[in-house]
Amino acid sequence: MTEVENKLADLRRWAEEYARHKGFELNPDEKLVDAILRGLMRNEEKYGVRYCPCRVVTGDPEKDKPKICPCIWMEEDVKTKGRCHCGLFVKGEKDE
Amino acid sequence: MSEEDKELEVIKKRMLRELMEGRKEVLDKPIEVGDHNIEEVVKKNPLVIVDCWAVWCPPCRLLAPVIDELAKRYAGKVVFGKLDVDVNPATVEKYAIMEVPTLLVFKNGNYMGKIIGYRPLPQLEELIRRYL
Repeated sequence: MTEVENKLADLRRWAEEYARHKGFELNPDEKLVDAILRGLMRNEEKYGVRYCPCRVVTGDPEKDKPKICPCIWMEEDVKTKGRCHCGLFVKGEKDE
Repeated sequence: MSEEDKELEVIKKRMLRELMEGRKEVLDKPIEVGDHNIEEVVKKNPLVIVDCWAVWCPPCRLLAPVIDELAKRYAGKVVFGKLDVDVNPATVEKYAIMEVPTLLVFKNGNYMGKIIGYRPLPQLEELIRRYL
């Protein structure tokens, strides 16, 4: 495994674990999940924190803090819309 | 003028007409929009929808072919623009764009509102038809 693949695998484990903890699931669309994880990885490299790749980073750490994945809107979005804005976390089938 | 010349003249006229009509061809694909030209694009066209996207945003990539298809279907009625939020901070600030993708809707030069997040084609088409 390359370094990038290792990082992606770690990130996926973290996301899966977090989803399970909240009673959610990762999006069944593997390609989308992979792309979001890569976006998170890129933001971590660029900004030092995992900002959601679907939110606009202003450069002001205070303003941007709520956008760190899992963002502050995630839980509410999954519960009300079935998925977070970016689509990484979704409502579990058992919750339907 | 010989018969052949007359025929050539007819062909020439037809070709010229086709050429002129070709020039008036309606826009059927999204255009690049940025801080420098968004105002101009919005003023010049009755209905403009600007897709604000980012390179690293997966739902933006999903939305791109939907926008391409809508640009074809509504050619001549709606002008679709693409704006990269990473390099157009003034627009991002002006319209308080927090998430991507975000669609900005402008009718007759006026800002009408936003459509936030990825929507599949039928759903987005329905939303856009309300502005026609």
